[in-house]
Amino acid sequence: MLQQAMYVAAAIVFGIGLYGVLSRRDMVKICVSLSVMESSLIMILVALAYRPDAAAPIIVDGVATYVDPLPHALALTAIVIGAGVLSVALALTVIVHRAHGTSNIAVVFRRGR
Amino acid sequence: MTHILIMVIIAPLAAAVAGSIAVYWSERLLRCVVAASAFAHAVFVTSIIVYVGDEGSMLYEVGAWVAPVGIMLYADALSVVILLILSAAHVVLVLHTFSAARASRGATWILVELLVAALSGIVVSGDLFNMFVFLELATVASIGLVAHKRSATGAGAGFVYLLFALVSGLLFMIAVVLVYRATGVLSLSGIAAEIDRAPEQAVRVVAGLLLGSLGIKFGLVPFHFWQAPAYEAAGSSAAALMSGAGMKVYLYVLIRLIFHALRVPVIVPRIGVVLLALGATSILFGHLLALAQRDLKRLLAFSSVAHVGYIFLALAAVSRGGSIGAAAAYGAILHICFHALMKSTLFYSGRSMIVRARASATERMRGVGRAEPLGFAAFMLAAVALVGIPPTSGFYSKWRIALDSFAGYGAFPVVVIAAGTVISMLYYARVLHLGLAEGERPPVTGAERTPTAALALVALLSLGTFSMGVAGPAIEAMLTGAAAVLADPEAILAVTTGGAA
Amino acid sequence: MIPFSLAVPVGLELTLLTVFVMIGGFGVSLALSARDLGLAGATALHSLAGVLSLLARDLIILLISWELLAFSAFWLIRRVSVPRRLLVSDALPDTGGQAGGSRDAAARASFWYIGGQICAAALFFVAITVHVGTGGSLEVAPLASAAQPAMALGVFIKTAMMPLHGWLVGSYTRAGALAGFVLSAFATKVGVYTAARTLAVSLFSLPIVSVVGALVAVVAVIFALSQHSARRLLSFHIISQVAYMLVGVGLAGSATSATSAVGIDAGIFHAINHIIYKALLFLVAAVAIDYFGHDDLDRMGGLARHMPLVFVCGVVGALAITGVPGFSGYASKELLKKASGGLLSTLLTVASVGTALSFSKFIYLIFLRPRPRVDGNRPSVGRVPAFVLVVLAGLSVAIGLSPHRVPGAPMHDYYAVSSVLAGVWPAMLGIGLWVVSGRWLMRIRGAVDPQPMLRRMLAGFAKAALPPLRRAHATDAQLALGITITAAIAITSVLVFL
Repeated sequence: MLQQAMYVAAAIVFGIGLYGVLSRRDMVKICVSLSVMESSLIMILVALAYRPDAAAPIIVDGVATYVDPLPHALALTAIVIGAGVLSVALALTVIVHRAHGTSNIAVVFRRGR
Repeated sequence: MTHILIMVIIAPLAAAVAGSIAVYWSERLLRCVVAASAFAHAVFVTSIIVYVGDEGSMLYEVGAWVAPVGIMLYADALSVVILLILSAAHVVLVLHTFSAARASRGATWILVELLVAALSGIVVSGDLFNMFVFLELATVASIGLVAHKRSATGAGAGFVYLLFALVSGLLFMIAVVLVYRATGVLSLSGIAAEIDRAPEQAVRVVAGLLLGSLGIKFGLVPFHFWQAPAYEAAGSSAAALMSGAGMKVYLYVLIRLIFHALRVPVIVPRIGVVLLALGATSILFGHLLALAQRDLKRLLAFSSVAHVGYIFLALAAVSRGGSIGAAAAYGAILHICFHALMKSTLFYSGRSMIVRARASATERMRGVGRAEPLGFAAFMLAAVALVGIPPTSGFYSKWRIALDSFAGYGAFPVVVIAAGTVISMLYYARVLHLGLAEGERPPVTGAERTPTAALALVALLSLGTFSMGVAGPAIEAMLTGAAAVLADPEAILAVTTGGAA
Repeated sequence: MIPFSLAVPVGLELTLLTVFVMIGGFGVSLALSARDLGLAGATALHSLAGVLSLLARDLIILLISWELLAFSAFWLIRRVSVPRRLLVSDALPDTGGQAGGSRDAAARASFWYIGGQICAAALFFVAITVHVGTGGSLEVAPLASAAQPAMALGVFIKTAMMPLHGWLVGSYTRAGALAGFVLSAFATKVGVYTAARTLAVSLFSLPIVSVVGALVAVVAVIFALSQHSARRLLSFHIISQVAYMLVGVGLAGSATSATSAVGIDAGIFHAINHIIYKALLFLVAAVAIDYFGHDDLDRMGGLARHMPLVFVCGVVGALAITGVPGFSGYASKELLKKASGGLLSTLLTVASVGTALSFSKFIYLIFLRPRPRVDGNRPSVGRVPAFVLVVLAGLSVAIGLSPHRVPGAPMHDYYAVSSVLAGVWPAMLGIGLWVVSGRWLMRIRGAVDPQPMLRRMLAGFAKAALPPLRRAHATDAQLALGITITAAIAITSVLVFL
């Protein structure tokens, strides 16, 4: 039940992020939306690892059930990669703003072809 | 011995790190590092080829940790071919840039080395998660290559590429999660062993997500929108690496996952129809779009889109299995190799024309055939090969694909291929027409002339595209192993080291 | 693997090969006498491609020769820089006509040429793929029935059957004068040869290739009649004569094996004769164009007085193409009519009448029409062209007088009385018609030529469809991203419900 709720929440967050990516023209806002989108994925990963009444995946005496450690590893990696990509995106935004004086993606991409 | 498998990642990665230090020292030192990396990479790939030739496959467990916890690297006859393409593209890139440009920006080299490391990593990865990490790394390196050549236009194109790549990464990640949920493992061989017990719907969804995700990476219609601006913004050499080798690596991922790990053709036999439809759409739209372009690099980018379509036609036939599948696998491998060669040649020879005309707009190519005869001739020869005029290499692979897809799906794909031939001939004829036209000759100054050594390399590549068709038998012996692996749905099932479950 | 099997043919095909070599040699020596190395090279390549097609023993080599013909012709057509006064000394001053042809027009024509040729080659490719895919071998032999339609369509393009003739008329009239001489010999004849070796197709139990051939033979003559440019007129006659050949080789479609063999031989024989007399006529036209400085029949005339040798050769060529007994065209046309019979044969006779009419016009306008004398003008035709003209004319007469001596020519009673009469009366009728109605006929102008229409349609499509396609890829990145995501979802759902 909790898992299902998480999936639904993740889907909603994903939708919000996607809407932002597709509808905002400002590159900074797109970057923000991108990271919203990514968070939904991490929510899914966390939900996936969930097991009722389980402890964090650190081996401690007397604890029998742990949550699945692998999605956690995935989530950590995804966060790292997401941060890296986001920084690249922001760097590109800065370059674009310097070169064109605007960070409107429509202006940047339309090159009169 | 099996340590070599990780060396193909480490060598270029180390070069990227060392290069980013060396670049502060001197340009020459950086070049030494890059040359050493290209050489080492080639040596490692060669020894992997030799090993795989003897043993059939190569397995390396990083840090001697076994499967459920550890990371596994794996190579077989199929991955070896892709590694060979990658390494050759790397070496050619280094040779060409060394001979063509006296000075180059240090960042380019670091990004190139990073890209090569990531692509090698993708090829030898034995599990989904490492594949994902390396895919992302390759994406970041490619974005760098796209964005930094001309910061004004490049950053925009790079940003758009980033948007698409991010969507691609998300789709891939969702696929990974679904696979993990369905099978409980992430190693490719483990997935192959478990997939029969997984719910069928999950396999279908994962296959769709992977087609979308990787379709973005290699620019299949309708996922191709980022490609033309990216190749246009990137330098010709970077475009040659991305289109010549990068695209092939992504295709390899698709083959590995769809055909081997998930064994989709066995579970969903009608995926062939989807592949066929995607391939035919790509061929027709790609060629039409190339015909519509007014820029040489964009034209080449869309031609790549079309040629992914040819490979998809072959893969559609592979999914039929049996003798048709086995034959088609050979066609697919052949076109993968030949297209890498032809498209790199086009980008490199196109570069000499672009440098001479001082623009990449097709209209500016007026008279470039007279000003830059060798580069232009090399371009046209490779173009003729790519169109598929006999007896060039392009004809040979196209002919194989046509025969195989005829066996699998009747006359429709053959007609599509023929239509593609006509359209592509038209746009290259236009370049030929303009190149031979008597326009004002572009003024010649010392810096704008491509050095003879670089032109000689391009000419050599171009002759290669021509003669590969004739040298068919020798190549066939080399590639049949890879084709056999491709066509075998249980290719990686045997790789399990005991800890897969 | 691509096999490379070549073999020297025998019989009639060997003769065809000899003729190919001969025309190639003449073309090269004419080009060399004009000191145009590029043209000589292109000519040599073009004729080599023709020879290769006859040597080919497998379909891939045949396809290679098709492509090679196209590429060398592309080069040939673009070499329009041949200077004037190359064939004729003391020619008239340039009168602003299209003597050498404009470079731009030739380049555009070469573009359409290669477009047409690549379509033909693509159809060839489809045909051999289907043929091999259905279990056929790569040997040059009649293709599997499933492969026949594509091959027939490819051959129709390669032989410029109307309305697919735009590439031929457009380029032969815009290429340089010498290029026309070479071009007229090869591409269409290789198409006919390919048809003879690979086609056997019938539609509703009719030999469809023959039927199309017979119809085009008549229609092309009608178009030729309304032309006012020497090379356009000759180009439409190429189409008409090639259609004759298809009538012969197309008989393989339905007739009994005996008639089909005769038909194929007759078609190839006609190809041989046609190459010789059409090269002759093209060279005559080239000489006339070189002398007058333009290509407009209405402004020519009186050349017989200046160049009697060229006049005689022109008349021989005209008689040969008309099929008058004693000249080469007669023998093969006679065979064709015998082999086809019935309605096909009647259509061919109608075409013969038209041909006679049309070449009466050709000869009259260039050579005989009175034209004011230009003072002090003593033109003479160059030595090499004169030699070529005489050899070709001599061959036309020799073949006409003793057709059975041609190596490989089918045995037949060529000079039976009824046959001679059947050869004479259409020619007489045509010449008679010209005498009666020539004055009126000369005035016909602007016949509708479907090929610019087809061309305009294609160009219009390109203009309408391509720029929006291009712009759609450079306007809205986010829309593109949306399309991409939607497509990914769509493909996933297709896979789920498949």
